[in-house]
Formats: sequence, C-alpha cells, structure tokens
Amino acid sequence: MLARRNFLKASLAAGGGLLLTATIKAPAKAASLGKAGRDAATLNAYVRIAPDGLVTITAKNPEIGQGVKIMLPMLIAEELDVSWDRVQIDQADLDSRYPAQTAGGSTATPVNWLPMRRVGAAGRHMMIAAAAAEWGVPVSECETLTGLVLHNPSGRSLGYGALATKAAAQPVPDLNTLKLKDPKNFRIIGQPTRNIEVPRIVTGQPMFGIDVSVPGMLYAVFQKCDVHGGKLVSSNVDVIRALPGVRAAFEVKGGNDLRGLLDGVAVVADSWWQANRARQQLDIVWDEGDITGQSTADFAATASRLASGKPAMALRRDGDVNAGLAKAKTVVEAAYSYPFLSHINLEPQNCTAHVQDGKVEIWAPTQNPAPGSKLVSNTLGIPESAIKVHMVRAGGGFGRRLSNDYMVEAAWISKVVGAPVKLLWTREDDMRHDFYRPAGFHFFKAGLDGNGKLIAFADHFVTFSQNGEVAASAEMTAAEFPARLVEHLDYGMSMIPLRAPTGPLRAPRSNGLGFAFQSFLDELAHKAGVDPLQFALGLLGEPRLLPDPPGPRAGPGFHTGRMRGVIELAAEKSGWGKKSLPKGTGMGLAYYYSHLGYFAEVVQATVNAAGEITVDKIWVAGDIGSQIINPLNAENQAQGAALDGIGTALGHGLHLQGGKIVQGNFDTVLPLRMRQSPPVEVHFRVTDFPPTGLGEPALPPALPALANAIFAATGKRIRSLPIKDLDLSASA
Amino acid sequence: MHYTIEINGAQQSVDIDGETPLLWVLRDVVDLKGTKFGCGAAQCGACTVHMDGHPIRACQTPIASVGNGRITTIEAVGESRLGKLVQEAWIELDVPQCGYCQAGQIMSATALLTRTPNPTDHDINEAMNGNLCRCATYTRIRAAIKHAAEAGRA
Amino acid sequence: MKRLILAAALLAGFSFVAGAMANEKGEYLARAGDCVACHSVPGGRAFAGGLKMASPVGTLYTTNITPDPETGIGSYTLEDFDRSIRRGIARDGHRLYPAMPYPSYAKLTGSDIADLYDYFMHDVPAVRQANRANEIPPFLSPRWPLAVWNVVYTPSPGFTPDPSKDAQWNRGAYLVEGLGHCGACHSPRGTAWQEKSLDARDSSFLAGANLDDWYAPSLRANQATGLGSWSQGEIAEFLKTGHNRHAVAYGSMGDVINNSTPYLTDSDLAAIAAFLASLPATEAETAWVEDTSTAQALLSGKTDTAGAALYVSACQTCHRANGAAAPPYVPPLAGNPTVLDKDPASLINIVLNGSWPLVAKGRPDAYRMPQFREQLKDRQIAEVVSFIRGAWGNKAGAVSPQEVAALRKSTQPSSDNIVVLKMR
Repeated sequence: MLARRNFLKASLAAGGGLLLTATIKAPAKAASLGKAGRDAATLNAYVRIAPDGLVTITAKNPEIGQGVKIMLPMLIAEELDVSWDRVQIDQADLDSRYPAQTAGGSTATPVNWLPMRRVGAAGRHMMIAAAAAEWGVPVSECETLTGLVLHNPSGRSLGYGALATKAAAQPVPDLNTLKLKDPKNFRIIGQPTRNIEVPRIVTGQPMFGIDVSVPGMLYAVFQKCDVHGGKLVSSNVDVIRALPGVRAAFEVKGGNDLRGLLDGVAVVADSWWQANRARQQLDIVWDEGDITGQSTADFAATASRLASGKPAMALRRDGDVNAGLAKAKTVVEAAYSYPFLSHINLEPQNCTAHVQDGKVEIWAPTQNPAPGSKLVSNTLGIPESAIKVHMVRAGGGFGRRLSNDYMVEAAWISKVVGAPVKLLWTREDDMRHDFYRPAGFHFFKAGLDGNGKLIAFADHFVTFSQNGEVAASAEMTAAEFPARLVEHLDYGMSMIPLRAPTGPLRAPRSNGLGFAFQSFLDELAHKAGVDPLQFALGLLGEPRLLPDPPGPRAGPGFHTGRMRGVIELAAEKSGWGKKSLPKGTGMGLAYYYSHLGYFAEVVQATVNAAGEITVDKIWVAGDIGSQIINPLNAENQAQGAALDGIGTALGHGLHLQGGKIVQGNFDTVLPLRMRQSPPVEVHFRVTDFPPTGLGEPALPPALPALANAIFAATGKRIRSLPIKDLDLSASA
Repeated sequence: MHYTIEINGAQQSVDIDGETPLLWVLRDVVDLKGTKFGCGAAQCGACTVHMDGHPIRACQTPIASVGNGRITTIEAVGESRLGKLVQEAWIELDVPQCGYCQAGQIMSATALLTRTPNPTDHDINEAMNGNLCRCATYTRIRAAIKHAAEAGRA
Repeated sequence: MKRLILAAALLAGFSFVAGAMANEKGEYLARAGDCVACHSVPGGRAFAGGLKMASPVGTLYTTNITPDPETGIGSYTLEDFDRSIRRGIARDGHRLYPAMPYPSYAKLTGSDIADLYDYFMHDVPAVRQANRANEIPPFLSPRWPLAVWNVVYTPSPGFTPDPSKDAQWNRGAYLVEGLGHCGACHSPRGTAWQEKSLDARDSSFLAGANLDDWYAPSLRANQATGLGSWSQGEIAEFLKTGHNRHAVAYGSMGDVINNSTPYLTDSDLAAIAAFLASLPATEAETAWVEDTSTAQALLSGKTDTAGAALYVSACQTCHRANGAAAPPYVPPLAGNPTVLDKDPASLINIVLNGSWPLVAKGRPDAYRMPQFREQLKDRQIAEVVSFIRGAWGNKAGAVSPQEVAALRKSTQPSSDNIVVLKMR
C-alpha cells in the first residue's frame, strides 16, 4: 500500500503563502494554482482546507506535460467530494511523505488510482466525523454534497471550511476499509478537465526549469567528452578564465558512472551567453579510451555477422522452430533494424543549484527527483537530509529526465564557485550526452502453412551490452508478441558491446520492438495472402488471458480479447477494407500492448512518384480500462503519442562515429512538423479492467502502422528507420 | 556597446556585446522568460518573437541588428486583440502538454492571423512549420488557430 | 637582377614589423600563405600533412613539411626549399602536383623564401609522420608531364612590381598574387587545370571560378557579382573577421579566415584591399538595386510560388522578409554577390550543407547556417534558391533540381564542430 496511514496524520496548518491567480479569466468549473493560506487546516499531506472552503490539494508527482498535476488532484477531489472550481493545486517538492514521486512508465494512473482516491475519501470521512461530533448525531446519518456535510434528518448542513480545523483533529480512518464512490456517481473523474497551467503558459509566465532565477545566480555550461566517459587530460582553462564575463572556469574530475558526474570543464559567467561563448574557445585534450567498433556502420556489420551464427542466449523456446519451418509451405526471412534515438526534450537539460553551508537547494525539471538527491548526496558528500529538491515543470520528459546527470553537475559547479548556479545545456550537449534509445537488429524467420496460418516464428535479436550486462532498455522479454500464440517459436539474443549510455525513451523497448515485429507480421499477412486485419484476428484467436512468463517483468498477462477489441474498433472507425483508395495511397494497421494499455492504430499515407510521404490520417483505438480519468487530456496524450511515433519513424535517428554522436541539432534529427502532421482520431474502448496510464502505449503502433501503410501504398517494405534516409521514389 | 531597443512598448537600454542574441537579452537581461531557448539555430521556433509585428527567431537576431524594430514578446502579445484571441483559444481547446514550445507557437499563430485572418490548412502548415512541438500537439494547435480566426470574425 | 632590386626597394616599406626577428617574419609569411590549412588535418599536428585533396588526376595527400629529417623537410637546404616552393620540384627531383600553388609562390622574393625557410627549420616542431601515397590511376601517374606543365605555366621566380602603381598597390599585388595564392580558388582554370592567369595584367585574374563544388566569386570590380560595391575598408574588414555588411565567408574561405588573413597587419590588409579594388570589372554589370515588392508580398502572406512559401517557412525568420538579414553576423541575401553569381554552386552548397563555424583568431562566430539537405528535397531547394536569386532586385537565373541533386551527391554536410587550425 503506497499511501501509508502515517502520510495522512492530521495536523494544523503551519506556514502558508500567497494565493497566486492566473492573469487570464479562467473558464468556469476550473481549478486554479495556489498555495494554501496560513489559516488553512491540514487534513493530511495532500489536502488543506481554508475557512472559506477553498481546498488546496498537493500534486505529488513531477509534471512533464503528461497532465499528472491535475490528474492526481482530480482523484483526491472526487472522493473528498468538493467542487473542482473550489480546488487549488500546489506542486510538491521531493518529500518523504509522498510515495513514488516519479514520472515514468505510464505508472501514475495504475499506481495512484486507488491510493489517491483513498486520500480524498479519508478527508471526506474526517469531515463527516467532525460534523457528526458537532451536531451530536451518528456518522451514519451524515453525507456529503460538494463541500458540504449534510444531516438530512434535521436539514442541517456545514461547509468544509467551517469544519476544517475540527476535521483535522479527527482520527485518520483505516484507508483499506474506506468505501469509495461508485464510478457512476463520479462528478470530476471522467469530466473533460482543462490543464490549469495553460493561462500561465500562454502568457509566458516563468514556470520551467530554465526559467528559475535565484538572487546572485551565475550561469554555467559544462563541456564533457563527446565520447561518453572520456577522460580529461588537459585544457586551456586559464585562457578561458580571462574571457569577457567569465567568473570561473575549472576542470572537473568525475567518476566512471555514466549516470553521474563525469570529467569535463565548467565555465561560469555573468550570463549564459558569455559562458557559452567562452566555452566555444575551450581547447581540451581528451583521453577517449577504446572506441574500436563504436560506429553505426560497425554495429550493422557486427549484427549481420552475429546473425549468421546462433544467438548467444535463448529468450524463449516453444515447440521446435526448425521442425515448424520445415513443415511450412512458405518461409519468410527478413532483417529489421532501428537506430539510436535521443529524447530531444524541447527544453534542453538544465538545473539550478545552490550549495551553501553544507546544504543544497536544487530546482530541477526532473522526472525522478529521489535518485537525483541521492546522486548529489553521494557525489558531494552531503547528507540527503541537507538536500532540498524543488520539482520544476519540465519542458518534456520522454524518459530523459529519469536520469539526473544535469542535477549533480549543477550542484558540483555551485559548490566549487560558492554561488547559486543555473546550468543550461545547449541543444548539441543535449543530443550528444543523452541516455539513448538503443538501436536494435532483428533477424526474423517465419513459416506459414497452406492456409496462411503462422506456425513457426524465430527472432535473433541483436542488441547491445554495457559492462557485460544487457544495456538499459535494450532487452526483450519472453512475452514479446506473438509469443504464446505460435506453436513453434524461438527468441534468441546476441549483444554488441556499447560505450554510449542507453536508457528509457517513451514506451521503452516497445518503441523499437513494435516497429520490427508489427512490420514483419504485416509482411507475413501479405505473404500469406490474408488481409492484415484478418491475419491479426486469426493470430489472436478467442478472447482469453495469456499469463506472463514468471520473472521480474511479469505483469498481469496479455488479454487477446482486449487486443481484438481495439483492433476491431480501429478497423471500424477507419473504414478498413471498405474504402477504395487512389493509387499511391494505402492504409496500414498495427497493434501493440505496452504499459498495460492495448492500442491498435490505422494510418493512411500517400507516397508520390518523387517518394514524398504524406500521412493523411491516423485512427487510434485504445483500451486503458474502465475509466478515462480526464478525457480532454487523454485525447491530447493519445494524439501526441501517435504523432510522436510518426515523427520518430520519419525523422529521428542518430549515428555514432568513433564513439561520438554525429547529429547535434534539429537540422539533422527531424522531429515532426506541422506540415507533416495529419488529423488524429482517438477512440477509447471502455472495459471492465482497472484504469491504466496513457503517456506511452499509444506510441508503439504508430511506427509500424505507418510503415505498413507505405507498403500498401508503394509495395516497398520499410525495414529500417528513419524513413527519411530511404528512397521511396518510383524510380528507386 | 550600448543599445536602446523597444520591447513590449517600453524602451529598454542594455550595455552588451552587439553579437548577443535578442533571446538572451530578453531572458537574462530584461527578465522576460516567456521566450524560450530550444535549439539556438532557428530550427525549433521556441524563441519566436515579433519585430514590427512579424515573426523572427530571437536566437538568431543579434541585438545590434534590432535597431528601431519594435519587439513584442509572449508577455505582451495578449495586448493586441488577435493575440488575446489566440491565447484564449489555446486555453479553450486545452492545447498544451508540456507547454514549452507554446509561446513560440502563439507568436507565429498571431502573426499568421494578422496577415491572413481566415487561414486554410495550407496557410497554417506554412506559417507554423518552423515551430516544433515535441509533444506533437499539432492537432489542437491547428484547431485553436481556426477557433481564434472564427472568434476574430465575430 | 635589376627587377629584383626594384622589388626589394618597393617592398622594403612594408616589412611587417620593424626590427622583428627573422623567424617571426617567417611565421607571418607562413600565415599569409596559409600553409597550415593544407599541410595539416583538423586535430592533427601542425604542418604534418595528410589532408586529402581532390584533383583532376586523382586523390592527393598533402605532405609533411615539418623539419623532421626523414618524413618531413628537415634535410632540405634553402635551395631545395626554394626550388620546391617557387618551382614545384621536390628535393629528390620529383615534380609536385600543382595542387601546391607554386605558380603563385613563384612570385615570392628570395628574402621571403629565406625567412620562411628559417621559420620552418627552426620554429616548427618536427613531427615524424610518413606521407601518405597519392591515389592516382597508373596511366596518370608519370610525373614527367608536370615538367612540361611547369615550363608552360609556372612563371620564373620573383615579383615584378608595376612602377606605374604605388607601393601600397604593389604590396597588395605581391600578397594576393604570391603568398595569398588567391587565384588558386578565385581564378578560372584552363584545360590543363592551370590558372588562366596569375597576375593583375590579365582580365581573367580573380574573375571567379568553380572549384570543389564551390563557386569562388569574382574579386574584381564587377558591380553585382564582384567586389564593385564593396569599399576598401569593407574588403579589409571581411579579411580580418570573415564578415562585413555584404557577406560572410564560406567554403574554403573559412580556412583562410581560420588561420591566415585575420593575422595580417592592418596595413597589409589595406594593401590587399587597394589592390583588389583596382581590378577592373570583366563586364559592365548594373549594380544591385533593391526591389521592395518582394518584401511587401512576403509580409502580406502573398507567396505565389513554392519557392517563396519555402523561403517564408525556412529562411525568413533569420534572413528577413527584405533579405537584408542581420549583417555582419547573418549575411544578407539581397544583393549578395554569391547570390547574384551566374554559377549557383555556392548558394546551393550552403543551403544543402550549411556552414562550418567560422573561426577568426581562435574565436568562432556566433551564428551559423544550419543544413537543409535532410529537410528539403532537391526540388524544394531548387525552388527556394531560384526564389532567392530572383527576389528583392536580385537578377540571377533559376536553378534546376538536377543541379541540386548533383551537388547533393558530391558534397558533404557541414558540422557544428569547431575547427581551429593551429600553427603550434
């Protein structure tokens, strides 16, 4: 149980702050941003109520654009039974009273769905108890109605504001026995609810990490070795110190952990521009270490060589894949690959830190503040109890900000210069010092019987290792679809040693695996002469739950019926198979289960004779359980995730050369732009399963759905990404 | 060098190297942090501001080149009727996700509506293509521009 | 002999720093000749050679000219050194390929050769680095034709001042025609790859040329496509910083800015400017006159061509609706000689590949052209370049997607990596 009882220990309010109101008139029924006033009573760690009934709810998680800053308070407000327009929301710092203060893996909904509602329900229970005591009536005779406690037998009522101080003194109920609302009575959950930050966003109020300003603050840049983990030998730092505006320039000797503080040169100046201009004159001698084979071309050659042999390790073996292939009428072989990717948060990595008198104060746009605090503590030798981390809104997360390298750099630089410092990376720093989505190579072989049924399926997955272990986010599990649905199946894996650090990128693993597997399955459908929709439904079979293989990644299993449901919904909404499309236009279908969400997507795309692609439209069908908490944001997230997938497929990709990332900016990595962006229709299928998250699962099917649409349009099969590097012209 | 430039209707004097981009003068000297840094290469549009009503990238605008140009930033674009309508449309349609690019989007959208009050999809594509949204809220940006255009006709 | 004495007399007035040590003078001359740009590779040791150069006969690699006795020129006598620089004959008697601009260096005075020799022998650290073999097809590899070539195309050593011109002009001529070897890129070449002219007497000298997928513009007084509209001060400013109100250096001129001309004295730069300004136009061109209708159309959203629409979405936010951009930091497109040239190679090249950071005296410039080869198709680049060449009063012709496709194939994208060529 995440929301432990002691988090809810009631106490009276202390401290407070000014109420901030947005400068633009907020629409009706909107919550606002603000801190609780001095007179507000603290019901628990999340809820404070002022005498006038204004409810301040603390949003505990980092906000990176996923909308969690209103989603979690909606859960609390619903069960607390208050009016949403009487709610104001306050962002928590990193604070041990709050569990799981992290943004990653689309986990906020499944992890917090019940605990946050229980927090609200506990508050409501305490309000009722206080009113019942006030009136001397049994608790069972009282009920609540949007911020009021009612005693119907006597017709009396009291507002939460009037009751707050007394309610705070009530014992905290047992969270597990609290009765939660019947979903049919929800008045906040399920309502399209606007993001309360928008009025500030559209007027340019300072609110992101990069906007943080602290009195006496200096500006810093940090030059690291572009071969990750390279060691500093010497530098002309003396020359840099004399440049205009420079306050300090010094060498930093870091450690060997690529997630921590690394070797580099820090330049600190009166302005960021001066710091960065001075840094451009740095002349550093690096010891790059062994970079043998650390190039994109080498990786591809090594993967092909490995693929000609047996996989170094088996991931799954069902039946006898060779016997299956021998039996097959048609055997199909294909090699798929996808590149390294950077997260390219639009807000480059940054952090403001002030180390003073053995204490550290940090303002960080992080997805994962707790490990950051630990990293700073270990590196600077300052106890975590002396470190305060403020979570600042992040200009995009996508998994990059689960790592806290920028945080420890800012803290270290502040410690050396003895002043508050804002560290800001350039775009090139950001692209060249990321935790990359690992590239991957899949060497598939599959067998179809005379009826076009898939009877054998093999994948030799060539991925990357780091220090002998499979690199972060570079693994594949034994549950990878279509495992459990094919009689003879063999998944094996080999690894190439990698210097560059890797890590999770939105829908980690799935964002690459989905492309490879779903493209190959489409290829099989065409080879089988079966419509891809029928091929998918045939493969899935009857609705049933397929349990996950035991292991650390075992989840609740895969439900073929839920997947069928979204595939059929996507097909229906897109008019799959029912439209006659002009020459050069095609529709592609793909489906993928990740982060507990089931998604199927249809893409319609047109490719002209010159090979120029127009994505005409995307239909998204998703099943994330019984409740769409905020439909307004859900649509936005699903549209964005699908388009992110399209943009990734079309234009993202990094090359390594001699251990260094070649690309540095948006002229070589091409995120999706308005001109390329099609309409996206989103449909949810509500099912009787617990609600799950939405930041990620709509992404993976978009890439193969586009690739499959291009095949339908041109007959050209996309087996590597990004598509911008391929020639799709009629003459090619 | 000493420069006096007009920002949001007020004369601002700065003493700074003439090569310094307007972006950093806005953010770190004049303390208008709504204009964002995304790429430093005029490739993302996060730093879009208006000079004499037309969109420019502040990261590629040396302060020495501003001269008598009137600079308007996201902090003041709402003082114009169209700017205000665009901001309201963004709120109404709940456009942003992370929100980082949206100041630039709004500056480009306002400039578009100023010269083309009833933009087609093609007009929107051309005018907005230089503004990246990493969260890909393009569907709603497009809808919000049309929403603001409609409000402008009322 | 008489000529040489006269030259010495004229040049005496320009000895670069009165009382300077001879080897400092040698270093200055090595900068003026920009030897390091070709005889080093980025990140490698100065003057150790190894730079790959394309030539009509095949791929050449520049040689080690450090004083290492075995792999460099350590065993060269002054006479050997002189013969290689001014006549293109190495110590062992083999003929150098004219990628080495010895036809220009032939202009050097004996005293400057001696100073250079002194510098290379005593101030340049010896680097043991074997030369890389050239990659030349066997039927082209005999070097004896070079001897013939030299007889025909290499002038006899020494500089002959023009007595009708003043000392400043002659100093400028000496630097431009000689060490500066400006003609190596800016003068058209003939059928035998020879520069058609090596000095100011010929009207083709510095008249502009296409080399290695760049069009090095005319440095003559052509009003539109040359330096006709540049003041002498603006020419000197360009050489000192790589920037002025008309243009920003690009292509291999970046190597010149990186290590050569910004280090020259103001009086030498003024002399170069005076000399260049004196070169008459090759044809009577109308000076560029602004046509404001382009800007009005762009600002009102009236983009009637695909090129104009692309300009608005990809170029205008930096180069502005009036094409005037933000000089000297961001170059104008309106009236820029590179835009107006008949040969669009440089303009297409820059749009395709962007520009490398321009470094002057160790400091990179603040603004850089991004590459568009990944963002725009050949057709689109042709459209936008054609638009630029016809906008704001520019009167250059349209370009075809085929021209873009050819350059896309033969050129490489630039990078944001800062390269500082160092002589030590």
